[in-house]
Amino acid sequence: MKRHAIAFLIHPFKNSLVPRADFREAVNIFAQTVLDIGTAHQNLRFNIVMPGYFLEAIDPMLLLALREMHKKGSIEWLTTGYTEPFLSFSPQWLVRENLKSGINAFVEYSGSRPSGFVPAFSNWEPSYIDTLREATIQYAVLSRALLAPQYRTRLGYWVTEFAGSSTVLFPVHSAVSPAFAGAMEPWIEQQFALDTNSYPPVKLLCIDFLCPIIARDTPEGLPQGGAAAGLKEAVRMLDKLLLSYQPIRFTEFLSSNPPLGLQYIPQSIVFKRDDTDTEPNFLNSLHSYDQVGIIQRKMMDVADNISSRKESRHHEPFKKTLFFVQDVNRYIPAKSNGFTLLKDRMWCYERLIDIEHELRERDDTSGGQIRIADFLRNGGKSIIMTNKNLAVYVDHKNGGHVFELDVRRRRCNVCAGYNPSRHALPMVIEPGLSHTAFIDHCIPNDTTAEEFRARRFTELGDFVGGGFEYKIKKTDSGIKVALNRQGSVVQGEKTCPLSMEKVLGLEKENPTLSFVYQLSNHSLTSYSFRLAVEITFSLPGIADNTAFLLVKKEKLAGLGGQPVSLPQVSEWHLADPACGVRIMCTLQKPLDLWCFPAVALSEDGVPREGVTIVLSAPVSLDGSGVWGCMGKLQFKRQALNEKRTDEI
Amino acid sequence: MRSEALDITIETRDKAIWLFLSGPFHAEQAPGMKEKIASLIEDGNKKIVIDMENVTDIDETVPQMFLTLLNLVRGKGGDILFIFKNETVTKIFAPVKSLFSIYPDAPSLPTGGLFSNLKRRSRVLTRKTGIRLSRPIAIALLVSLSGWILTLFFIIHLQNQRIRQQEVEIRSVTGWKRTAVVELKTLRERMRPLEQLGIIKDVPPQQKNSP
Repeated sequence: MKRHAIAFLIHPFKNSLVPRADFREAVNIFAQTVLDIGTAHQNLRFNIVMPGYFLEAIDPMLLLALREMHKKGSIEWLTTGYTEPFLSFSPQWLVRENLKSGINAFVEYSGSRPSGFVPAFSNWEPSYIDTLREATIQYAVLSRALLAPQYRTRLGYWVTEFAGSSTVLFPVHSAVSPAFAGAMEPWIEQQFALDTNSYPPVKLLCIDFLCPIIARDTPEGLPQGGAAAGLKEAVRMLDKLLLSYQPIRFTEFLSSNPPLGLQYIPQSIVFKRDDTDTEPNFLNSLHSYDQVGIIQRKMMDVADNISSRKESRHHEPFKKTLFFVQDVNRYIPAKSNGFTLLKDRMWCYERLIDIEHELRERDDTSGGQIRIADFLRNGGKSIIMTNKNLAVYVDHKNGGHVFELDVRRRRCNVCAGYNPSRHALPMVIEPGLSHTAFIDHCIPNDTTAEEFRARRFTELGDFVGGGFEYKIKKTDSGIKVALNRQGSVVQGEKTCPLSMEKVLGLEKENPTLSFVYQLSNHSLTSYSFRLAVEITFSLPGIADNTAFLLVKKEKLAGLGGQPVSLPQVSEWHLADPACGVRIMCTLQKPLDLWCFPAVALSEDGVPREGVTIVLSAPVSLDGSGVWGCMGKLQFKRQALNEKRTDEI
Repeated sequence: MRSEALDITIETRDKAIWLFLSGPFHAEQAPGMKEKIASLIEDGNKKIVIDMENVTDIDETVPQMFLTLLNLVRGKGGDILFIFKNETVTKIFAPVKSLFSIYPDAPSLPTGGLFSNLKRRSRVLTRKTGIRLSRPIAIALLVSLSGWILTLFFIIHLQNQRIRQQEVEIRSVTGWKRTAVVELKTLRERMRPLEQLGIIKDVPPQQKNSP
């Protein structure tokens, strides 16, 4: 009787951002571990999956030894692409390029093409079957959680089909638990016992053994360096079972055994790298976060920009940068990585702004640029004003808020903060969950800073989420967008008409954002209320208390703690050495300044991501009266408190 | 919404305002677009270039709207140039083609003189080679290059002067030679009767030195 087979897939992964030197060291340690295992267990066959950039970091001598292992038939290579692209969230051409670059890296460094494709987090998109076939990928490896429950116990491989194209699919059990190696033997026996079908005669159990190469990504309970030890122990157990089961490479099994049948696998993702707790609506849930949507849309915008240009070798570095931005780990909320961390978000924005800046340098444009485009891809238009130093993204449909403000000189978006208040599904983007800037509140005259912070006030106006009409201006002096709303304000018990004109502009190529507010009373009734313009800047220096506010030569540090309330201020500076930005605000007439830490995603010890500045002033409008105020925000460079690391 | 389907990008290139339109251009969008372009004209922008290559669908009323704008801008001494070669837009613009300045792509646009040409050429070279020079470095290179050229011209000028001087000298020596030959001939003519009388013996210098 033939022995049943086990395909053991060694799956190193890196979720968090780490400096390149640390990453290189970790990858080399992993490669050495694989070589040790290969030397110690020469009768075993392994499958190894890696992103292309892992191979680039491996020492040439170790690579040579791995090549030898491959030549001897001890290992089979699989890939995730150049990085681990989030298939569901990326433009198709970018995924294709990613896969192509990954395969090229394999050919260059390992001397052979990878045979299989392993999407990270089993993020499967059936429309990519053709892409895999074009790339001469023979099969895909996915978590068996994607199969219907009655098929999960079947041991073998399937063929999956979509729109007339098909590919081979190996369902795997993902294992990351430190205890797995210890309990492996009975577990394997149990798995073979569960499949009572007589077909096929030789059964195949696929194990995806996940090895975190960075200590930070190690699951709880596993000591540092335990990943390598766990892998060695699992392989030792596998060696013990050699007489009962045959460790095999995927292509070996494919060439000599028939498939179990045809399976249609819809678009899916296994959020946790474990097949017991999948969340089928994860992608929908992901769309309920603003920032992940904005980063993704910015990535698509940059990708579209690159793809619309003629193919050039100068675009290759941009593509590689995009491969890292489309990495699934940037879009998965986790403890050590993901878009919920300000650091990860800032990292993504930094890369994307850098590419945008380089592309703009190549175009021979002068002065500012205005774009009216469906940037958020929600059916509405956003107004994007850019010059050499700043980019301002305005959502005129939702209160004329600025939802992204890129300081291009420092490659950072200072409007990238999270707000705990949720918005209703299924909207992809709707202000509320992100901290935006230029939110216009009309509040009672006696509202204090503390009451505003605690949201204990009555909103008298309808400008916070109301739609604004817009007009654009482009002159030699700069670009402007004039937002206008015929809104209303509650006075006593009556709702009275109030018109607000808000003009945002960029001056030539300067890093200056000017703003003008004009409130007009078209009725004969007198109005009295307080206008409070809320601006939230997401600054990393708030968390470590390095950011400070400078008002009238008085330095106010510790912005992440107590709120600050200063009356009649006409000039203030907000500096953050952590991201190297100094924001200088000059007002035409003095306004009250309230400053408090931006509300964090949750209140239980989560570091503050930014600071909310409220510029407020009492407004008294007689019948047919007009009230106005203007000012400008200058974004200057500030010395960085520490050198930026080259994280990947 | 149909009234917001079109994406618009507005930027300045070579002192002209460029509008890049992409997406479907429905009739509902025409008033909004007209207002935007009219406001750009009011802001003092005289040369407007509209790139409609990425317009996927276009309503029949759109050329009419552009005609109104063209009259407006021409009244202020400006012009609107169009860039497209896609079939959909070309078909709609066909009846009024002669009224508009239509170009198939950006390089076909009329150039704006030597400096614009130089600028464009430098852009193309930058794209091809990937080499970009900052203004101070370009000025420094230009100054040193001009220095070399001036030095070269100075050396050529000096050599030219010397050659002319030598030419004059040669000319004067040649003249002197001719005079000397004539004088010699005259002297010989005078001395011939004396030779015939045997008073002077004409002996070649070689024979004089021979033993």
